[in-house]
Amino acid sequence: MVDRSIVVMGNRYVVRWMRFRNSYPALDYLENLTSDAERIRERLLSLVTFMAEAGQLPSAQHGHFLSGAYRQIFEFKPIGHRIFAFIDGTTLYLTSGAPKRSPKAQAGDYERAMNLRAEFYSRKKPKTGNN
Amino acid sequence: MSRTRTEFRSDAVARALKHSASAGRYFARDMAMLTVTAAIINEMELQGVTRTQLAERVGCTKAFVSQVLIGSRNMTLRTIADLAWALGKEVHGVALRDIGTTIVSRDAMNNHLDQWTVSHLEVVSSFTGTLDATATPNVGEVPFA
Repeated sequence: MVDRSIVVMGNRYVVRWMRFRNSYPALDYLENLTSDAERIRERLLSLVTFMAEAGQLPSAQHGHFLSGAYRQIFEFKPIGHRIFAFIDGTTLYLTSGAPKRSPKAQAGDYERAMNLRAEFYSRKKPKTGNN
Repeated sequence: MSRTRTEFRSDAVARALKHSASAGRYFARDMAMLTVTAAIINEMELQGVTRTQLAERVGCTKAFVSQVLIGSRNMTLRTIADLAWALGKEVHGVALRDIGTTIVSRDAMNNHLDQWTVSHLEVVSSFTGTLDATATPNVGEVPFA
């Protein structure tokens, strides 16, 4: 069976679109881009593919973990946009996206990513047994 | 027959790229730039060389080096060679692969994702020195699957 959420499987991470209420918010964001859309989509896919394989991006200008209260959120930085993600074990979940804004204005987007992450863990079943 | 990475298909990626007219052209560009810049940045970190120092060695501005390394400025082969030279290195080994296997979104456009990432994973892996094109990582628990 095909897993529709998989973006790419790398040596370091499996990258997935995070599902929320029967949709994939990050994917929906990318699909609804109107300006320079294909360039941005392919830029993001190249970044996540590289991340999946190398486990890191070449520099913080390509993407990085946020700091402070949002430190669990990883921010990919395709041109003019921000795609948010978090890491659960060896899986990197793409949660949501937003246009690039000033740091203060972007806080709402960070909050949304944090909320999606919290939603993910609220639904994740705890591991049972000895594994 | 064991399951390999190439057997995993991503309809989501096909959806993401379905409007793509250039079908992976930007992806190919970005992957090439990421691979090259990662190699340079990795070497800079190994040698403890800053962007300012690299700019001084090459004879350009720090801004130029920064723009090249983050991909906001196109880099020529000459620039790549200069940056490598400034680190006491030379560019060695450039591999070209069949376009049908190296451009992911071309496959995506045609809904043929069998060859998703395998060949360019080899390129990316040269950065980390690891290559296991057939390994299936531990996916772990998937709450929403």
